[in-house]
Amino acid sequence: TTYKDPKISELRCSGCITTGLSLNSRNFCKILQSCQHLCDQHKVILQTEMRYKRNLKGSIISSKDCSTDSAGNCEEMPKNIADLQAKHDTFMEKQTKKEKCNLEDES
Amino acid sequence: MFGGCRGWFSQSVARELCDLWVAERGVITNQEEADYLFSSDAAHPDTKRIHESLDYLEDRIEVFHSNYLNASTNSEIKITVPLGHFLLPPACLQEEIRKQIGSFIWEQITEPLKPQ
Ligand SMILES: [Zn+2]
Repeated sequence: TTYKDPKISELRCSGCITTGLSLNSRNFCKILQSCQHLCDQHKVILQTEMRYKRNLKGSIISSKDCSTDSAGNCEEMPKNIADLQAKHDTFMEKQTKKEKCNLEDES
Repeated sequence: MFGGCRGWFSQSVARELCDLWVAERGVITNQEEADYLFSSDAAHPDTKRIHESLDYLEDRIEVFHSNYLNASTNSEIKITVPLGHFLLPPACLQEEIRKQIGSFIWEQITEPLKPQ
Protein backbone atom coordinates (compact mmCIF):
# COMPACT_ATOMS: atom_id res chain seq x y z
CA THR A 1 0.00 0.00 0.00
CA THR A 2 1.08 3.59 -0.54
CA TYR A 3 -0.80 4.90 2.49
CA LYS A 4 1.30 7.38 4.46
CA ASP A 5 0.83 8.55 8.01
CA PRO A 6 0.94 12.28 8.61
CA LYS A 7 3.75 13.74 10.70
CA ILE A 8 3.62 12.85 14.39
CA SER A 9 3.40 16.52 15.32
CA GLU A 10 0.11 16.76 13.48
CA LEU A 11 -1.52 13.81 15.14
CA ARG A 12 -3.33 15.87 17.73
CA CYS A 13 -6.14 16.92 15.42
CA SER A 14 -9.35 15.04 16.13
CA GLY A 15 -9.85 14.60 12.39
CA CYS A 16 -6.55 12.68 12.35
CA ILE A 17 -6.54 10.68 15.57
CA THR A 18 -10.10 9.44 15.57
CA THR A 19 -10.19 5.95 14.15
CA GLY A 20 -12.89 3.36 14.18
CA LEU A 21 -16.50 4.29 13.81
CA SER A 22 -17.03 7.21 16.16
CA LEU A 23 -16.80 9.60 13.21
CA ASN A 24 -19.33 9.64 10.43
CA SER A 25 -20.71 11.88 7.69
CA ARG A 26 -23.18 13.42 10.11
CA ASN A 27 -20.91 14.47 12.98
CA PHE A 28 -17.57 15.05 11.27
CA CYS A 29 -17.99 18.73 10.51
CA LYS A 30 -19.09 19.55 14.07
CA ILE A 31 -16.21 17.53 15.56
CA LEU A 32 -13.64 19.34 13.40
CA GLN A 33 -15.14 22.71 14.23
CA SER A 34 -14.84 22.06 17.95
CA CYS A 35 -11.27 20.77 17.73
CA GLN A 36 -8.70 23.06 19.38
CA HIS A 37 -5.66 21.66 17.56
CA LEU A 38 -6.51 21.31 13.91
CA CYS A 39 -3.65 20.07 11.77
CA ASP A 40 -2.68 22.16 8.73
CA GLN A 41 -4.46 19.88 6.33
CA HIS A 42 -7.78 19.86 8.15
CA LYS A 43 -7.52 23.56 8.89
CA VAL A 44 -7.11 24.40 5.19
CA ILE A 45 -9.93 22.08 4.12
CA LEU A 46 -12.31 23.32 6.80
CA GLN A 47 -11.62 26.99 6.07
CA THR A 48 -12.00 26.51 2.32
CA GLU A 49 -15.25 24.62 2.81
CA MET A 50 -16.61 27.27 5.16
CA ARG A 51 -15.86 30.03 2.68
CA TYR A 52 -17.58 28.05 -0.08
CA LYS A 53 -20.63 27.43 2.11
CA ARG A 54 -20.87 31.08 3.05
CA ASN A 55 -20.71 32.17 -0.60
CA LEU A 56 -23.26 29.64 -1.76
CA LYS A 57 -25.63 30.49 1.07
CA GLY A 58 -25.20 34.16 0.20
CA SER A 59 -26.22 33.54 -3.42
CA ILE A 60 -29.22 31.49 -2.31
CA ILE A 61 -30.45 34.21 0.01
CA SER A 62 -29.90 37.06 -2.43
CA SER A 63 -31.57 35.13 -5.26
CA LYS A 64 -34.90 35.53 -3.50
CA ASP A 65 -37.71 37.29 -5.30
CA CYS A 66 -37.96 40.75 -3.70
CA SER A 67 -41.68 41.27 -4.28
CA THR A 68 -42.62 38.73 -1.60
CA ASP A 69 -40.55 40.44 1.03
CA SER A 70 -42.60 43.08 2.86
CA ALA A 71 -39.47 44.75 4.18
CA GLY A 72 -38.10 44.94 0.67
CA ASN A 73 -34.80 43.62 1.87
CA CYS A 74 -33.31 40.80 -0.20
CA GLU A 75 -30.22 40.32 1.91
CA GLU A 76 -32.11 39.47 5.09
CA MET A 77 -31.54 36.03 6.56
CA PRO A 78 -34.55 33.75 6.12
CA LYS A 79 -36.59 33.50 9.30
CA ASN A 80 -36.87 29.75 9.45
CA ILE A 81 -35.50 26.58 7.97
CA ALA A 82 -38.55 25.94 5.79
CA ASP A 83 -38.09 29.36 4.23
CA LEU A 84 -34.42 28.69 3.54
CA GLN A 85 -35.25 25.26 2.18
CA ALA A 86 -37.79 26.74 -0.24
CA LYS A 87 -35.26 29.27 -1.44
CA HIS A 88 -32.65 26.60 -1.76
CA ASP A 89 -34.97 24.50 -3.93
CA THR A 90 -35.68 27.44 -6.23
CA PHE A 91 -31.99 28.22 -6.41
CA MET A 92 -31.07 24.66 -7.34
CA GLU A 93 -33.75 24.58 -10.00
CA LYS A 94 -32.29 27.71 -11.56
CA GLN A 95 -28.78 26.28 -11.37
CA THR A 96 -29.86 23.12 -13.17
CA LYS A 97 -31.53 25.15 -15.90
CA LYS A 98 -28.43 27.29 -16.25
CA GLU A 99 -26.22 24.22 -16.59
CA LYS A 100 -28.52 22.83 -19.26
CA CYS A 101 -28.29 26.06 -21.23
CA ASN A 102 -24.52 26.02 -20.99
CA LEU A 103 -24.39 22.48 -22.33
CA GLU A 104 -26.57 23.45 -25.26
CA ASP A 105 -24.39 26.43 -26.03
CA GLU A 106 -21.30 24.28 -26.15
CA SER A 107 -22.69 21.74 -28.57
CA MET B 1 -15.79 -4.18 10.89
CA PHE B 2 -18.64 -1.91 9.68
CA GLY B 3 -21.23 -3.94 11.59
CA GLY B 4 -24.62 -2.27 11.34
CA CYS B 5 -23.29 0.96 9.77
CA ARG B 6 -25.56 2.49 7.18
CA GLY B 7 -23.76 3.71 4.10
CA TRP B 8 -24.73 5.46 0.88
CA PHE B 9 -22.58 5.09 -2.23
CA SER B 10 -22.30 7.48 -5.14
CA GLN B 11 -22.62 5.92 -8.57
CA SER B 12 -18.99 6.87 -9.04
CA VAL B 13 -17.87 4.23 -6.52
CA ALA B 14 -16.61 0.94 -7.93
CA ARG B 15 -18.91 -2.01 -7.40
CA GLU B 16 -16.11 -3.88 -5.61
CA LEU B 17 -16.00 -1.28 -2.87
CA CYS B 18 -19.74 -1.48 -2.25
CA ASP B 19 -19.35 -5.26 -2.02
CA LEU B 20 -16.52 -4.77 0.45
CA TRP B 21 -18.77 -2.65 2.66
CA VAL B 22 -21.41 -5.36 2.67
CA ALA B 23 -18.81 -8.10 3.21
CA GLU B 24 -17.67 -6.23 6.32
CA ARG B 25 -21.28 -6.20 7.56
CA GLY B 26 -22.13 -2.65 6.48
CA VAL B 27 -25.62 -1.90 5.22
CA ILE B 28 -26.29 0.03 1.99
CA THR B 29 -29.15 2.48 2.25
CA ASN B 30 -30.46 5.73 0.81
CA GLN B 31 -28.96 9.16 1.37
CA GLU B 32 -31.42 10.23 4.06
CA GLU B 33 -30.82 7.23 6.28
CA ALA B 34 -27.10 6.84 5.76
CA ASP B 35 -24.54 7.82 8.40
CA TYR B 36 -21.67 7.34 5.96
CA LEU B 37 -21.64 8.90 2.50
CA PHE B 38 -18.99 7.64 0.10
CA SER B 39 -17.99 8.88 -3.33
CA SER B 40 -14.93 8.51 -5.51
CA ASP B 41 -15.65 11.60 -7.58
CA ALA B 42 -16.84 14.91 -6.19
CA ALA B 43 -17.67 16.04 -9.73
CA HIS B 44 -20.23 13.25 -10.18
CA PRO B 45 -23.75 14.79 -10.29
CA ASP B 46 -25.00 12.76 -7.30
CA THR B 47 -22.08 13.94 -5.16
CA LYS B 48 -22.24 17.48 -6.47
CA ARG B 49 -25.87 17.57 -5.41
CA ILE B 50 -24.87 16.74 -1.83
CA HIS B 51 -22.24 19.47 -1.83
CA GLU B 52 -24.94 21.94 -2.87
CA SER B 53 -27.55 20.67 -0.41
CA LEU B 54 -28.75 22.59 2.59
CA ASP B 55 -27.53 19.81 4.88
CA TYR B 56 -24.01 20.34 3.59
CA LEU B 57 -24.22 24.12 3.72
CA GLU B 58 -25.38 23.92 7.34
CA ASP B 59 -22.61 21.50 8.40
CA ARG B 60 -24.88 18.50 8.81
CA ILE B 61 -23.27 16.25 6.21
CA GLU B 62 -19.85 15.43 4.78
CA VAL B 63 -18.80 13.08 2.00
CA PHE B 64 -15.84 10.73 2.35
CA HIS B 65 -13.68 9.25 -0.37
CA SER B 66 -14.40 5.58 -0.97
CA ASN B 67 -10.69 4.77 -0.90
CA TYR B 68 -11.23 4.64 2.86
CA LEU B 69 -12.68 1.20 2.30
CA ASN B 70 -9.54 -0.04 0.50
CA ALA B 71 -7.33 1.42 3.18
CA SER B 72 -9.25 0.33 6.24
CA THR B 73 -9.79 -3.23 5.13
CA ASN B 74 -6.13 -3.64 4.26
CA SER B 75 -5.04 -5.98 7.04
CA GLU B 76 -1.77 -4.24 7.94
CA ILE B 77 -3.30 -0.91 8.84
CA LYS B 78 -6.83 -1.98 9.62
CA ILE B 79 -7.40 -0.26 12.96
CA THR B 80 -5.22 2.76 12.38
CA VAL B 81 -6.88 4.41 9.39
CA PRO B 82 -8.71 7.59 10.39
CA LEU B 83 -11.84 8.29 8.38
CA GLY B 84 -11.03 11.99 8.74
CA HIS B 85 -8.20 11.65 6.21
CA PHE B 86 -10.71 10.74 3.54
CA LEU B 87 -12.84 13.85 3.65
CA LEU B 88 -13.95 14.65 0.09
CA PRO B 89 -14.47 18.39 -0.46
CA PRO B 90 -16.51 19.79 -3.37
CA ALA B 91 -14.79 19.38 -6.73
CA CYS B 92 -14.54 23.12 -7.28
CA LEU B 93 -12.44 23.53 -4.10
CA GLN B 94 -9.99 20.71 -4.58
CA GLU B 95 -7.52 22.59 -6.75
CA GLU B 96 -7.39 25.46 -4.28
CA ILE B 97 -6.83 23.09 -1.34
CA ARG B 98 -4.20 21.11 -3.23
CA LYS B 99 -2.21 24.29 -3.77
CA GLN B 100 -1.91 24.66 -0.01
CA ILE B 101 -1.53 21.12 1.28
CA GLY B 102 -0.21 19.15 -1.67
CA SER B 103 -2.12 16.01 -2.52
CA PHE B 104 -5.03 14.62 -0.55
CA ILE B 105 -4.36 11.47 1.43
CA TRP B 106 -6.98 9.62 -0.58
CA GLU B 107 -4.96 10.42 -3.69
CA GLN B 108 -1.96 8.67 -2.20
CA ILE B 109 -3.78 5.36 -2.32
CA THR B 110 -3.03 4.55 -5.89
CA GLU B 111 -3.36 0.81 -5.80
CA PRO B 112 -6.80 -0.10 -7.11
CA LEU B 113 -8.68 -2.95 -5.51
CA LYS B 114 -7.76 -6.10 -7.36
CA PRO B 115 -10.71 -7.90 -8.90
CA GLN B 116 -11.33 -11.27 -7.28
ZN1 LIG C 1 -6.11 16.61 11.07
